[in-house]
Amino acid sequence: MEGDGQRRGLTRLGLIPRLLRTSAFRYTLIYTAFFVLSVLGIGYFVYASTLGQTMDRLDQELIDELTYLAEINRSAGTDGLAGLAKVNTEVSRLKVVKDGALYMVVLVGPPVRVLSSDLPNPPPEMLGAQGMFEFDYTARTVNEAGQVVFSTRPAVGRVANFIYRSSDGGQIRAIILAARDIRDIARIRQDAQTVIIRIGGLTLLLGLILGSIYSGAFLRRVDNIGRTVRAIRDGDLTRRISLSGSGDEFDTLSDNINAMLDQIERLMTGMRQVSDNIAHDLRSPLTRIKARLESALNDPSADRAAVLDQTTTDVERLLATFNALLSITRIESGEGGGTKVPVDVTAVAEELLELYEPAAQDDGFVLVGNIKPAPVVLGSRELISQAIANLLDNALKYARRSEDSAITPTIELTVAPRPDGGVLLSVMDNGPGVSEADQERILQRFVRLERSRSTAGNGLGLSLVSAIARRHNAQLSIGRGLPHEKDPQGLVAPSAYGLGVRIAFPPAVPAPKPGKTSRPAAAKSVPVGQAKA
Amino acid sequence: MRILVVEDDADAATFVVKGLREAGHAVDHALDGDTGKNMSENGGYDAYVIDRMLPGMDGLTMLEQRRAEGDETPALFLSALGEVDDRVAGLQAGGDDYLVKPYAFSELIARVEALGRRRGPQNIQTKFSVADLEMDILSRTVRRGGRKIDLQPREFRLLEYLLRHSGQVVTRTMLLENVWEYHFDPQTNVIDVHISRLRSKIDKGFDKPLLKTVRGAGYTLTDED
Repeated sequence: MEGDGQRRGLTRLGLIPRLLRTSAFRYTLIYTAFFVLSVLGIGYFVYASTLGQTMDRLDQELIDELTYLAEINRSAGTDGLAGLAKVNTEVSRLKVVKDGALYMVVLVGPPVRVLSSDLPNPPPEMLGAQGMFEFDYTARTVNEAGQVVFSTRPAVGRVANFIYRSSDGGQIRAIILAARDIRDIARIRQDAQTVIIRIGGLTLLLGLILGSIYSGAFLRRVDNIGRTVRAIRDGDLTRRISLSGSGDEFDTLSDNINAMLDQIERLMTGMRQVSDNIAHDLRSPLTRIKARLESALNDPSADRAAVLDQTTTDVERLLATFNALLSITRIESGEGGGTKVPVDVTAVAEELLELYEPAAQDDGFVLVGNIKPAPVVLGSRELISQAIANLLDNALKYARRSEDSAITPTIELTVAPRPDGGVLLSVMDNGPGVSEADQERILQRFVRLERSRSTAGNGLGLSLVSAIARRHNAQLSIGRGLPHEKDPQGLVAPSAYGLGVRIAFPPAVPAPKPGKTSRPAAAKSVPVGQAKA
Repeated sequence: MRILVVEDDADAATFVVKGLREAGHAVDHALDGDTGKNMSENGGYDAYVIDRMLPGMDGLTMLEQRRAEGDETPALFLSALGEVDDRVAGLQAGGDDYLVKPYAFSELIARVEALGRRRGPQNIQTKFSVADLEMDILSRTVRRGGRKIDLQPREFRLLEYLLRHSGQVVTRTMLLENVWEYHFDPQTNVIDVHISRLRSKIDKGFDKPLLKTVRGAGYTLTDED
């Protein structure tokens, strides 16, 4: 218990690194990264195109203004500074008319003289600027309390150079700056950036949370499988993986693993039974042999040849039992019997009838073949032959009658087609039969009914038949055999039956689904019928 | 016969070699596949008895290589693997017979001697005879002392097999494998009954019985006593 708790504690401590290592988490992370990038990209696109248009409009306004000022300038002629004076007057008028407009008229000279300016200092960006440029300026405003407040504000501007001819023939240059205060636009721009970053952050966070949940669920399912597998590895073969019931791929996987575990457990149980039975059924004859050999060794007068002879017989029987056990195990594990090929059961049955007929006759049996044409089954001729041989051996052994019985001992070997396209194989006798209570039991390994203890055999014949049937996916059933003849003395009740073993082989080719294939055939047959009518 | 036994289990090998020598054969023994292959390359053997699982080169590979080199010496595999697939693998590697461990020595010697006979023209032989018993494969007739004997098809095949191996011991398992083509042993004495039927047809009414039971081993068809 302590160890278990410790392990769980460690698991919890190590959960986050494990989470990060899961493939689910990595996939989510990659997915999230793409998602965040695309969110940022879309945000930037919207932001750039909206703000870009506003700035373009502003730029156009500034160009128009400077063109307008240039026209005013030109109308006054280029001799002397008359034009510049006109421009300066127009600028002070425009400033009043246009909201947020800022101007600066500088006579570069010589001498340098600022004719008018809304800016405390000429912005450094204006020197050599091509097109519209952004700059910050210090605005002087009066707040509600009547105090003078200075604040830095963003603005965009454009410059134009006007050239004048001076009286001495030289050139006088003037720079006109037309600018707009863009603090509203800048605020919007700032807000948009914040929003984009927040959306990106939120997406990332959501992605990480989702990834953790997703990979956590993934880990839980995998851990569930892992725990079960570990428990089984530690020896608890009865454990199975619990299904979530959703029928998802994990359920399918778990279901398959469970089916595999069932098979393994069945095999293991089979093996354990075999070893238990070997221990039980082989140990006693081995002990007997050992005892006999020891007493022969200690007793100089013993007939050694007889002892050796007897021992050889015993060892041979032991070997036969051992081989039968091995065959059963191999057949059950799907190892023996070769690959499955089409087998004509009728031919196999005919051959075995021929093989057993003389022996049956010698033993006073009537061996009846009831072989009808039947389709082939998929399997092994060798194994099917062996199954039939075992059933015939059994019938010859156990359906024997006492000499004075009025009943003729009969064995009937039947092969017949089944309605589903498979083949029915049965061996029936009119012997004493087996009570219903014992019918299930006789299929088990080493089970021999009390009354057959005295006859030779190892109790593996029917188990082998059962294993062969399972190997062929065939249904084995034990039931009534042939009815006992009503003998003249009325000693045997007419309701008494011998033993019957039936093996129903499945069709070699799976039967076509009736709904799909029969429809066209039916549709075809209708016009034919009509034509005949 | 000169026989090469390739078997890594020293105890089993001693037993086999001793038994075969007592039966009048000259036997060489190799402990592993490589030695076995080298010895077989010197030639002069009438039969190989090869354990399937050997240290180093396994028995299947050894025989496969010898067959590839043109060695036609009949070979019998000894193996603990006895399923149909294993037998098929053994025959595909060029084996002529396959005996599953554990086996009775009488079974081994009967099979090895049958192998030696396989060489030569018997397979295309169409007429067989032992004493006054004659069989003609082509006309499917059997005569004894000039008198025609009617046989069922299976009895004919049974007698044919016995005639092909006349003078040798033939085990029940060999009959089951070669006449009926089954590789399992029925618990009932089915073969014995078939033999006794055949015996009643070919020996009944004649002075000298030809089909004899060899106790603890099988049967033999011979006119020697």
